[in-house]
Amino acid sequence: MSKRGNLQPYWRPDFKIGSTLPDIKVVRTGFIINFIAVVCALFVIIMLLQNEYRIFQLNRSVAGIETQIQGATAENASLLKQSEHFRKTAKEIEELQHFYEAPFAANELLVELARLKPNGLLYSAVNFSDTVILTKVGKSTSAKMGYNIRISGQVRDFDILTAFKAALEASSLLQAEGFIVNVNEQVKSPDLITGVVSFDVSITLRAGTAPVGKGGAK
Amino acid sequence: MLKPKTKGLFIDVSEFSILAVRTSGYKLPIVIEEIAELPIAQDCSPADVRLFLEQLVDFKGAAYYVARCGIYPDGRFVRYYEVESLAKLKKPNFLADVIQSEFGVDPASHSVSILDARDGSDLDLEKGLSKHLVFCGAPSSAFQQAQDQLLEYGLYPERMELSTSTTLGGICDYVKLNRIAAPVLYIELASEVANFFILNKGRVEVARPVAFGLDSIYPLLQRELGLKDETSARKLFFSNTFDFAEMGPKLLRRLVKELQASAGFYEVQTGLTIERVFLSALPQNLSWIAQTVSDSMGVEVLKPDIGSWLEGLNVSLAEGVELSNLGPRWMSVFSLMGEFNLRQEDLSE
Repeated sequence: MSKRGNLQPYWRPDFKIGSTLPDIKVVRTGFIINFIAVVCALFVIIMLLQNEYRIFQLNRSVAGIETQIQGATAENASLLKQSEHFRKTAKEIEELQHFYEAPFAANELLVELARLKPNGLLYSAVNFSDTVILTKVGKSTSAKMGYNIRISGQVRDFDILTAFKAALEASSLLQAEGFIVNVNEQVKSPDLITGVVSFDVSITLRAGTAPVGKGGAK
Repeated sequence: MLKPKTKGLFIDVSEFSILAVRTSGYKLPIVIEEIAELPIAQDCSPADVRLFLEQLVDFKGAAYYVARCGIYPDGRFVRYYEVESLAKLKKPNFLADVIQSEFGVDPASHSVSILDARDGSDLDLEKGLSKHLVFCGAPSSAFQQAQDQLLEYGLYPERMELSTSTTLGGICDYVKLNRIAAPVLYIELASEVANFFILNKGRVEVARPVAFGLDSIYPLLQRELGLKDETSARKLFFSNTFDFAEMGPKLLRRLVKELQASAGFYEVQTGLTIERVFLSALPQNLSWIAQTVSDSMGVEVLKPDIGSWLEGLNVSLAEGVELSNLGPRWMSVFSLMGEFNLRQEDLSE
C-alpha cells in the first residue's frame, strides 16, 4: 500500500505480507459513500422516469384528443355550415317579418269584420291582398308593404253602408300603428226589384305614420 | 466525513529497544510530535509494548494502530553484487541464480528485493539497467514472524521495511546532503550477525555480512572477567556499570580485523580512504563499541545531525521536541520517514 504513487521509496522496499494481515476497516466509508451516491443516483433516475412517464401519458392523451378533433372536424364543419345557414335564414326571416309588419292577424280581422257587420249588410267576399310599394328616396329605393282589404257585399240601403264605413274607419283594430288607413267605397246602382245595393269597400293600409285625423278619400 | 486526521506512527523494532515516533501524519510535510523509546527487557511481553504505545498514540478503542515499521528479521541480508554485463541481466533466472550461488540464499523461501546500488531505486528490468545491484531480504517465515509480532503489539503495519536497508538509505541520503566526499563505513551489529557496508558519495559499493555477533563476545567477556557463566557476562555487557573502554579492543578484535581487511581491500582497489564509520541500532550504553572501532581503524565516528537532515526531507519538529540528545541508532526510525527520491542532488560520477 504505497501512498507515493507508483514509485517505491528509495532504499525502502515494503516487505509486509498482505495476505496474513487482519481486516481492520471498521467503518467502511467507501461503502457508505458509495451507498449514498447510489441512492442519490437512483433518486434522480426515478424522478426522471416519473417525468418521462408523465410526458408520455400527456403525449398519448394529446394524440388521442387530436384524433378526436380530426374525426369531429368534418362533422363540425358541416354543423358550422348549418349554423351559419340557420343564422342567415333567421336573419332573413326577421327581416321579412319586420318588412311585412302585418298590422293584425287574419283571425282578428275576421272577428272585427264580423263584429262590425251591421244588420242589413251582407258580406259576399272578403279579399285580402298585399303589394310592395317602391319609393325612391334620392338614389336609394325603399320597399314598403301595402295591404288592401276588399269587402264585397250587399246592403239594404245607403245609410247602413255609410254607418258601416264610419264604423270601419273608427275601428281601433284597423287603425293599426305605423299604417295609413284609407277606407273607400264603391257603390253600384241598387237592384230594381229588391232594392239591394251591392257595394265594394276597400280598405288600404300603407306603411307610414298617419297625420292626426282620418285619411280622406282617395 | 471530516474526522480528525489520524496521527502517524513510525516504529523501529530491534532486539534492543522499540523506537517510536508520533507524527502529524504520513504525508509530507511531516511534523514530529513526540518521541519515545522502550528498551526491550528480558521479560517484555506484548501487553507491555501495547501499554507503551497507548501512551504515545490514541488507539481509539481499535485493536490495531496503523504504523510504518522497521524490523530486523532473523536471517536478513543486504548484499552488493556487480553484474558482469547488462546482457546477463536480461537472461531469465539470472538473478535467482545469483542469489542462490553468490549468497547461498534460496530464492523460493526468501522474500527478496533488488535495488539499484547507486540510488536505492527498485531495479526495473525493462528500463534503467544498472550493473550495480543491492539484494536485500530475509526468509519469508522470518518476515511473517516479525509481522505477527507487530500485530501482537497492536500495530497494523501499513509498511514493513527492512531496517537495515532503510537505515542504509538514510545514511546514503545524509552523506549526499552533507556532501561527504570520502567513503563511509556503515556497520549494523546485532546479537548473531553483523552487516557492514561501504558507501561512496551515497552509492553503495560494498555490502557484506561478517560472521561476528554480540553473542560471540560473551564467552570472551566471561573468560576475561572470570564470570560465572555467559548469562552473567551478557547481563554485565548490557549494564551501565562497567567501563568497556579498556577491554573494548580485545572483545572486538575479530570484528575489527575483518573490517580492516575489507576496508583495506576497498581502499586499495579504489584509491580512496575511508574517513568515517557509522554504527546503527546499538543502545546508548554500547556506544563504546563505535569508539573502539573508530580508534582501531583510525576513522571518525559519524554522529549525524538528525535535525538538519530531517529538515531537508520536509520533516519538521513540533515545539518541545529535542533531537540533540538522541543517539545515532535513531537514524533507523527517522529513515522510515525519508522520501529519498525527492533529493534532487545530482552528483557527478
